[in-house]
Amino acid sequence: MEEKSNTLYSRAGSKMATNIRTNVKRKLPPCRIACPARVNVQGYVSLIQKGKFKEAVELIRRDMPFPAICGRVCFSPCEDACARVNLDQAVAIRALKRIVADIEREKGRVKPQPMPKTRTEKVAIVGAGPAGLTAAYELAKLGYPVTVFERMSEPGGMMRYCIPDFRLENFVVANEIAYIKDVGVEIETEIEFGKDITIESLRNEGYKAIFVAVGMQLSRRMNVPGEDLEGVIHVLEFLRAVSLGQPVEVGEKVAVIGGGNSAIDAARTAKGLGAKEVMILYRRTRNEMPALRHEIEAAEKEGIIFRFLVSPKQVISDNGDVRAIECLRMRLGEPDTSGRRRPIPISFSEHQYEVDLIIPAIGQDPETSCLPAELLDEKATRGPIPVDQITLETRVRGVFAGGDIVTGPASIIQAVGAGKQAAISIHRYLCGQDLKAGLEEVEETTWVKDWESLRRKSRRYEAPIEKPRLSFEEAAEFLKETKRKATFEAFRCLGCGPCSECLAEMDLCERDRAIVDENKCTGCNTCFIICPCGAIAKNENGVAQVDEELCKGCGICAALCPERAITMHRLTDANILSCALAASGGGSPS
Amino acid sequence: MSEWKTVSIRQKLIQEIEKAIQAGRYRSISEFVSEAIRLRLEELMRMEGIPVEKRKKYLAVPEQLLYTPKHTWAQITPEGNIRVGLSDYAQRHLEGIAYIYAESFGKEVKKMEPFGVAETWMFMFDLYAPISGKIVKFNENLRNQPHLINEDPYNGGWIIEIKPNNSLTLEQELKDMLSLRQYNKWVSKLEGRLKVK
Repeated sequence: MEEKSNTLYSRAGSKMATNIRTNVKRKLPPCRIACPARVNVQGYVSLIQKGKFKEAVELIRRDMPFPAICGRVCFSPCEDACARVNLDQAVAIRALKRIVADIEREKGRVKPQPMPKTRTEKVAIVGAGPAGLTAAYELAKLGYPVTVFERMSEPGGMMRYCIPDFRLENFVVANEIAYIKDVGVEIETEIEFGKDITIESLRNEGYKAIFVAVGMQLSRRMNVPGEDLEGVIHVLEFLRAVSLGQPVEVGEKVAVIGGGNSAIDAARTAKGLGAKEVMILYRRTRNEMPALRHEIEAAEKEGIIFRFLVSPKQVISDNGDVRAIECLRMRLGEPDTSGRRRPIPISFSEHQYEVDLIIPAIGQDPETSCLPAELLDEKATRGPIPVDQITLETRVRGVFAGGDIVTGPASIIQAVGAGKQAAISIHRYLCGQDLKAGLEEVEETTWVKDWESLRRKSRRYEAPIEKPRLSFEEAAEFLKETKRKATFEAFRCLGCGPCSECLAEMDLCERDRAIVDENKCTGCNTCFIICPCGAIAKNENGVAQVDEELCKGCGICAALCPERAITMHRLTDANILSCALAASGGGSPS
Repeated sequence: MSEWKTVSIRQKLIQEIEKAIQAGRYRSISEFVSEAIRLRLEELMRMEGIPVEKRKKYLAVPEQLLYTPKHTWAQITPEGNIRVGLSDYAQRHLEGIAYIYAESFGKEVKKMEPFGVAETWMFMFDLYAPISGKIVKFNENLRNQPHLINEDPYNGGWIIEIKPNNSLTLEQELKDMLSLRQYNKWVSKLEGRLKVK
């Protein structure tokens, strides 16, 4: 124990010379910083370690309302950032999230307490997609009366209509939205922005703030001859029609153009509708495909053919019916701004594929006709609505915009992040505060410096791609086994952040505070540097002082103080180090 | 005088029941009687305004149903179809039920082969047909309220109705099914086996 604290101390000491902080930054683990919604990943993973599955879901819900949806279809930037990559493989964060969310619902529906309406200012949200619903959820938690307006017959936006059922079941979306409704959000469907309601009409009805999150509702066009033929259905229209149960004739041969997730979704959906041969045409190679790796593998397993380095030139028709698609071969050139290598057409390389149906899936475009002119900007590069990148406020006061309409087509979790930011900005706007002041600054941290010394390699938990088909007796066993595996996987987390703020031990975290013995303190700065909450300052004598409000009682300073000048209210000396290590997620090197 | 009247009514009733049995609506007089008692009880309780949860306690008369080892029950409806649902034991494993898929109308199903799937958040469970025949009805209420299966597995939570192919095979297939007593034995055996593990 002595040795360990010494190594930690020497690490702090080496930092001391260069890194005396002037302003307070929160130290967060890399996974949490990578997540646009700042979901407390380390917190819920450490709760799973303790077997507290229910608390883990509740912790996720503090940051965002869609644990089950993100557990299924999130891009999981947290896993890309996970520090465990240096050791073996990233922690299976998305799979863990799905497991805790599913296990909670396996026991029946979850009903939260409705939030009391403590504020009088009404807020209108346009678009019931992930951004709009998250903003509504966060504002309802703050006590605002929130109304969401949705054009389609059911809320959910792209999650409901444009992600096929085999990736994200409709009941999952319906259930998560039912939760948001139970919290106290009102959702009005079949109301179209620009027709039934406008910004003026909403203002006249007494809405004090408006959040526009209408998303990108049109498929991007290929701009090749023959695109308007009947045998060409753009991807969003195709997926929406299938989701609504409208009859779609796919014929025998289908070509999907594009390399994103929606291209793969469309290909697999077409295969499910009875197409014999489905191929995906992509102008770069497999390495540049933006689709998720396991989705590509699943598509290959279903027998979908991939053709790389081809780009459509024109659609060839026979009396108005699509007969074939003519393509050009490509080769890869220099990397472009997105870091992927730019495809360059090879001249005179035209060739044809015989197809019955063509589904272009190359991107999304906004539907600007419904948006009021004062919000739009012709010159904008990404989305049509220019906003302040931090506060999401548009040029019209009291109107905010976020989600895909601002960033261009992005992921669900980015939309959730935008929704959260919009909720913060709207709250500040309605309270009359400065929108930009005091935004939290964060700093990435991990306690592991010497990866060689950590020889604890373990295999990552690979979640089953399909739902298991079992009998009732086997299911009980399987559930137990899944729980065991999830706990095991959670223990792979290194606990990079100092304190995960999971608040698992409410009594401990809430009440305990550090106390500094002024006679012993030598002003060495260790506690000042090491404190994860920035709770320690120095007074005019150079002696450390604890800010009672900021201190979370993690005990790290007490464990590391070389003079043993810091003690805790409740913890005894013997417990302090173990508590400090427990607070950091249980990730001790031994 | 009154005594004579009762006797004549009783004789008429017996004749009616015999007709119904010959038509295949009931298998025996006792089945008719238990069905009649059930209907009468249901009506009485509805009149007295007993809430659904309490009614279930009295109403569940699983005695007259037939079961398969795969936890589906079968009941003969007045139209001569076989109504299929999930047993109480199965329902207890389906607390988080989210969706019920069944084959489309007119589809042939075979005895002890899956005719649909009950989907929960984590699992898929195959639903096994108790007899062979054609699917003629699906409980549309389940589309939006699959939790009906939990609330009322024997009445409101029925899943499909099957029209049997012919009466001869139907009789044999019904004979092969389990009575409640046999089924309960089977369930306790299953649960006992789980405990040993």
